[in-house]
Amino acid sequence: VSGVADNGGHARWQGDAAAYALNALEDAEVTVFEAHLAACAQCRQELDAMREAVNRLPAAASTLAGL
Amino acid sequence: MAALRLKSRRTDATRSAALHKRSDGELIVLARGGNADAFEVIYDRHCAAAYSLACRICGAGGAAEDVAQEAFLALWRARDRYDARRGEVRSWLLGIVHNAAIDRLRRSGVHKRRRASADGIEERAEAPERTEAEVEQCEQARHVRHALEMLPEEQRRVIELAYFDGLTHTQIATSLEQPAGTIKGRMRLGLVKLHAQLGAEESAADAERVTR
Repeated sequence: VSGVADNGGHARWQGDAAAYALNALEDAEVTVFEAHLAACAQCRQELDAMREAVNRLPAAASTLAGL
Repeated sequence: MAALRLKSRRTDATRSAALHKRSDGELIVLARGGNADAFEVIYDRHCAAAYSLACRICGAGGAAEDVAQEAFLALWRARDRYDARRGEVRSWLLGIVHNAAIDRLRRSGVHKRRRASADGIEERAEAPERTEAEVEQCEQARHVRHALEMLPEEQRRVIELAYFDGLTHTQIATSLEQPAGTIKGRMRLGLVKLHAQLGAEESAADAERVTR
């Protein structure tokens, strides 16, 4: 498993970025994805956007928790 | 969560004000050098969010408090390992809270969601430093929930199952009888839409409000 991704297979990493941002990857996948992330600017950018969205979710949680 | 407060030296007002102007990333660096006051500022900024998220997963009360406490202690212990390239301190902390809350649910064997009890709400209202942050979160929550509701059901569901119920994509795939790749794809589509709906600009304004 290298950090190099061909363009044709990159959609797979995009899905991983989303799952990673949601803490929903399996542990073994986290290791693989992080290795890829270190070598892929596109995925880092993708992950930043995913995280911005995920960072908003706790706001929804606070209201649902009873306010 | 009084036990959470790290024992700190008494600081003069000027020094404290200076710390409050620092970003979380800068404060973590100061905390690395043993500056407990810097860490306490991080605590003050994010304790409401940490507790709220813990409540969402564990239900309000002692368990959520324990989870938030564990998370801050874990953050303190791991402060040397913080890497700004991997995200904001707040995200990191909430990730720790999330994992700790899920671990706790798994240990107790209780997976179903719980709403905060009336006792829990009163308990939280007694802490004045939380109130302001909670009011802001309440306003934000309406917006975020609306954005969630605008998502196609299948996308909203996988995001909620992952984030709020703490399931991995594999568990979700099994539960919904869908291929893992499909679940990840739905997560991505949903997050992309949320991002577009909520806007990076506003997200930044939020972070500014909450962390400064």
